Amino acid sequence: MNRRWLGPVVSVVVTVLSVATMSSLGVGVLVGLVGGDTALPCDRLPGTAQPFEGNRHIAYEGAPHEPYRTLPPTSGPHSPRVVVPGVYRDAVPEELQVHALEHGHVLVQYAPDVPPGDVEKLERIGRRHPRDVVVAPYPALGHGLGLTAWQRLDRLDSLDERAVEEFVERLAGRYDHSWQHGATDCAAV
Amino acid sequence: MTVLGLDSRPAVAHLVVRQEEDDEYVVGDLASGNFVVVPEVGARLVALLAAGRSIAEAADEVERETGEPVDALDFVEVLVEAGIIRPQSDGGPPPAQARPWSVSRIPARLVRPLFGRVAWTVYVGALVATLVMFVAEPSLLPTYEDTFIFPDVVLSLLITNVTVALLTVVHEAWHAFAGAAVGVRSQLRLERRGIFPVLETDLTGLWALPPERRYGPFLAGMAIDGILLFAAVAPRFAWSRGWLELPPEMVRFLAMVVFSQAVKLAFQTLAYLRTDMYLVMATATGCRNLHEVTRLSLKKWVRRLTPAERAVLRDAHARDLRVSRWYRLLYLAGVIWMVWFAIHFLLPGAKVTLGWAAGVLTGAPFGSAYWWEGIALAAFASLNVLLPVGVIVRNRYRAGRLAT
Repeated sequence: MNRRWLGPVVSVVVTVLSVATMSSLGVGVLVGLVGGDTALPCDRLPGTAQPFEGNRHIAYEGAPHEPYRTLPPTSGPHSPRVVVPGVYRDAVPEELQVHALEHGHVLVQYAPDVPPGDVEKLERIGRRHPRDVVVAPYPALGHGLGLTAWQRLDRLDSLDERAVEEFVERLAGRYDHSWQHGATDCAAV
Repeated sequence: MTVLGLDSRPAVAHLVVRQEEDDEYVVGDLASGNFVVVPEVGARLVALLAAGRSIAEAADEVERETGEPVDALDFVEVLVEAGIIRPQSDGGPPPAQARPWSVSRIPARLVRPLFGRVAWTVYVGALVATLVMFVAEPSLLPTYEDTFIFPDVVLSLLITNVTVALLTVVHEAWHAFAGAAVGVRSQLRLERRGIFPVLETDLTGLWALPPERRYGPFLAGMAIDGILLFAAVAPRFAWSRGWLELPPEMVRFLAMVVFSQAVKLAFQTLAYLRTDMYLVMATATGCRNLHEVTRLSLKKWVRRLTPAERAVLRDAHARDLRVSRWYRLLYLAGVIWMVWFAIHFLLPGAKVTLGWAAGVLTGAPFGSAYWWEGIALAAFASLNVLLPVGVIVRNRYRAGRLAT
């Protein structure tokens, strides 16, 4: 069988794949550089703005640092360790919570008085936003839900799925080691 | 030591002889992976020796047929030096060779079904299904964060690296199985591709087979990577849709496997690093030594070639030279990309990790679990940078020993 076409076809496919793989990382960097000012204005954001409490890494979890001014914390000294978005069944230490916020993620945390059925609904929200949300228990809350993003906090007495979804969709990725796409901390508002 | 004479009848029945071009034949031993390219008269000598003629009888026969005398003893000694046949006329002990990977010694009948028409349909189907799931649910696409499956960094590094190493061995084992299915044994070794350390299955023996029989073994590693990728993506896809319940830790573990497999498949597309896709392309274009010819044709612009390197270019096949005219653009782009990757990702990554380790080592109580975490981080960051350097040093040492 004459297969003289195979060499050129395979060469083109392999070259295209090589170039696509190489450029995929570069495209990510370029998109980050040229991303326009598309962040939502402060008056369309849920929750309340919180003051900046710093962003330094502490040497290790448990190392002494200035106390956080909010519960749950929304910025400040944090662990170099990383907690990735997802569903957790154990409480996430505060120093790790802040590091997740610094990476642009949103934390949805619940107190022990939240019914198991509502916890399941929160975990389903976590499933729908697997790159953005950490869902975890947080006994220190004492009551209801705590929603946090970098320098942003909202407290709910009981589950309001729409409010949680809105918090996630409007605040995830707004900050990632710096304010993204023209966003600001809204602290003066 | 070679103990051959004109009356010797060397054992050549195991050799594969395949016509490559009009006056070019490949003669090789699939079991050892050694092969040489010989003219038509060489192939005729092998056929006569295989029929039981002595070296002198084979030489006489060829002289009768062609009207030209041939030095058959010299030809047989070339085969012995190439490790293709045994040096003694009674078929004595084989020359010292690296032992084949035990995985590649599996009987062909056991692994042939893994590379039949049905199997390849499954491999391609799994890859297509995975791409469909990525399009339907973009959050399944991997990110670097997926390697942090636990907040405990050392535990994450341990589980991630052990899993990646195991999956890499599976990739290589599939190459070895596919080689065994066509009767070729292989060797496993640690090598490097540019700045990346790699495990590599040496399937040199495949080049003694017709091109259409090489594609399967070359693509086998990517085929099983695709299956493993599908096996990690499908449960997460079902979980994200609420069709399946999974422990959260399992979801994060699967995300790490997706990251590992996606990176592995992407790496294989980088042809200029002599990856699996390069071998497929070299086979499809009928090239013999494309990468080396391309490398040397670029090197001669900036540095003086050694006599051996000049000989490689001088003796290069016309097809290698023709393809290298455009392949050198991809090669050059790849080298530039690798430098950019090292500056933009590899070195900053090492800097962040080493800075993290330094902070822990100076801040955490000496000998505490956190202090040891700092040691582990420093070791990991150093390993990433030092492993390719170690392979370069090892190869130079070996080359030096061979030269002496």
